[in-house]
Amino acid sequence: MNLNRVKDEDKLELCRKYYYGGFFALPFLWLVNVVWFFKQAFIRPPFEQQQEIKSYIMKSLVGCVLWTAVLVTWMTIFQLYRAEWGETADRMSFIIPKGIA
Amino acid sequence: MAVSGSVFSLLLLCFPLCLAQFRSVHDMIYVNITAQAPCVRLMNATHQIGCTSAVSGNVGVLHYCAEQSDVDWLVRSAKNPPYMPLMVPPLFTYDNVQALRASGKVSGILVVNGNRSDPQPPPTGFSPVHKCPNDGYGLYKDDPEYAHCKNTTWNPLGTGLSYLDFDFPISLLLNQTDVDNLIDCYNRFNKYDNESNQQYPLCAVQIKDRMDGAKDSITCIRRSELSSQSLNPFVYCDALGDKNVWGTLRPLNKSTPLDNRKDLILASAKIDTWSLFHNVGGVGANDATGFIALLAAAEALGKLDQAEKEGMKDVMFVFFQGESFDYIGSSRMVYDMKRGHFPEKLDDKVLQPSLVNTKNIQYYLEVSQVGLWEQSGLWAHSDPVSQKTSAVRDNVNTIFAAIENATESSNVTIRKPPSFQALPPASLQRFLREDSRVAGMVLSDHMAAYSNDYFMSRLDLPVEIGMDIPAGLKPDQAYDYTTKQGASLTKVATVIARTLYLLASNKTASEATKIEVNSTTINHLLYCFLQQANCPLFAEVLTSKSAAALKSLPGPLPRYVSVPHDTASQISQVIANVLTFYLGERLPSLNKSSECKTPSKDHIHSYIFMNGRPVLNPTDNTTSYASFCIRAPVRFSKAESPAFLSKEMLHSNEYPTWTESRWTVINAKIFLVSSEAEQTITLSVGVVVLLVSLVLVYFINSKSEVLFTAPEAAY
Repeated sequence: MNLNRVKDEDKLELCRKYYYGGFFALPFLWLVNVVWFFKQAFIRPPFEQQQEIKSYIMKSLVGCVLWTAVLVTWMTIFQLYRAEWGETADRMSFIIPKGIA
Repeated sequence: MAVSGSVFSLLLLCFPLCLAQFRSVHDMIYVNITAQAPCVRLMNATHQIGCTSAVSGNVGVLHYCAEQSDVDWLVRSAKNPPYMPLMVPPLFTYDNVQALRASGKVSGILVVNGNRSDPQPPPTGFSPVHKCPNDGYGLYKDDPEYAHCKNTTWNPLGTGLSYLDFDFPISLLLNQTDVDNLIDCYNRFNKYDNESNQQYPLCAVQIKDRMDGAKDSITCIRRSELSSQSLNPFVYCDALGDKNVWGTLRPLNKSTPLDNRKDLILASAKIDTWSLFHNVGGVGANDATGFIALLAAAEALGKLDQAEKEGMKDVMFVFFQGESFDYIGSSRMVYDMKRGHFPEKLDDKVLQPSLVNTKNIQYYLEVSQVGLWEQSGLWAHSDPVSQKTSAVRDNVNTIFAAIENATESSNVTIRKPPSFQALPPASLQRFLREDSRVAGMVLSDHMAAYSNDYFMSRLDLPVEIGMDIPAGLKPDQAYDYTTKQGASLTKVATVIARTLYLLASNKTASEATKIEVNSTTINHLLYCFLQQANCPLFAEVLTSKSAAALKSLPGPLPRYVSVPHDTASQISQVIANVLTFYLGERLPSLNKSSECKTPSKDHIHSYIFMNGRPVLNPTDNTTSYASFCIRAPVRFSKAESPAFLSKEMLHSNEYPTWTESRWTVINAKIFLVSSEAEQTITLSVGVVVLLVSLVLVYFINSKSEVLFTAPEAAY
């Protein structure tokens, strides 16, 4: 979709939908939201809906960063302790590694 | 690995050749190693042992170690790791391997398999297993006096090399051409002065034998189970196991059950052996003398006439499989006996042997390693702990008296070790562990420490036990040739046969002298099991299909227990057939292979349609086979550890828990590797060319109107 051809009120609606969608454990939707509406929120000359779009984008960004932090932490912990956890870790794994503990 | 530099030089070198015939780039870079026996990963309940390569294989610069100084140079002075040493047999010792491993400079080890008639063993002997074999799974597990071989160290030369966990591959090179190729490549490219720098390109080796299982049996079994429910099922390891072979002199039948009678005579020997290298055939020669002597004794007793057999006690021969791994075969048999499942659960609908329990065993005679008795004497071991009970002591004394009587009129002397000495590692230990009232003796060629300097190694070779077959003999002459071992083992086998005869009947020693083991039988068995499996005896007693399968085998059968399949392994199958041949009765009325099938309701006998001897038809020079049907009370029983029957038993420490890891590829190849600097330059040049061309294309594109005239303008 080319945002240039969409009316400003529709942009706000779209941005809001993406923002709410992100709450269903979809941080990637937030990331898309941020990238997609970044120009509209911060670079374009002010327009009526900009403040609201800006706040959605900021919140999406925060959510996305939080998610990334949580995921990175978890992945690090899991990779570091997988061998030690033994059976528990094997049960959590979708692909069980070959040839290593 | 980046080999582009050497590819280029190789391409130039082989240019005229390549014009003549097409070869793929891969073939131009690599020379494959055709035959190798790798060290593979095994696991038990707590550890992993053996070797593995990295996922993409291990690469190292070849270093031929012909002298100890070469190994020392690698450990002390070598500056460009990783290396892949190629070691001659006398250098492949525990100390050298450990030094190389500790140096961190090797990415793998290649071992030259010496000539079988001149194996060049390390001068101090070589036994890669523990000093106390099968420790913890025998009778003296928790005994304050005897546990952990406190009383006698059975295998003092044992280093435990086979039980170490290596994170690099170790491979035995089976083909001399590969060794020659490697040495040739080494001499041409790597023979730099040990002090100076290396001159690239260098000859290198890559070994790939990644193992899938890891950590321990419990982990890999759990992973296989978890994986079996997933979208992409995968098996990480398999429990070791196979089939025991057992047979009786006359059929046991449940119509005359053994119940509480204690009058069964059990004679056993172990079949299997193990070496650090996977599935090498024709090793464990002294290990094999036990079951060979017992088979020959079975033949001598099988020849007795039917009436005499009827008057004797029941004699049962058992050939255990997997005993090298904490007594897999015997621990399963004892487990089944104790639960009243041996030979099988009673079922009214079928003909079955009577149940056999450990309490039915009156005398137990085990034949351990006996090949070297002429040097070190023949010894009858017994267990001091159970003999504190007088009933057991009396029965043990009866066995010893029978052996002594059996040696009369032969120049064999049987002796007893000091009475406080424990039993050596033996299947009998598993029986005594369950039932201390089993009276048994173990016959061996050592009083205390093993006489065999190469116990459980690839160097326990026929030549070390005096199988001195002259080099120039044709196969059929070698088959009949009486070696020193043949002559000496015949005497032991005769003693065993007479002992069993004396124990089973009320005959006197002089009457037992009619039992004589045929030296031809011993010669044939030794030759077939240790030199060449494609031999007349095996060809005669196997079915035509199995005999044909042996034709392609270049040497003797491997005796590593391996993992269970629906049918018995080749070695167990052969032993079952030989035993059937010796104990069975021929059924001339069934002269077709289709008629000679074991009836599905008869679980007492096995019927085998044996291939028979070749008969040359003089009229048209064709060969046919005198095939025949034979029936004997010889059956297989499971040799799979009870540990894998339930989770509790797997964790119980009571039963063997050995598993073998799976793997997908095993290969090794030789190639030339260029220096790291050259590799970096090649890569950098490539990257620069790519970037330059990108920039060039961008500018050409942006200035295209200037550079190219529009097509319309031409008109």
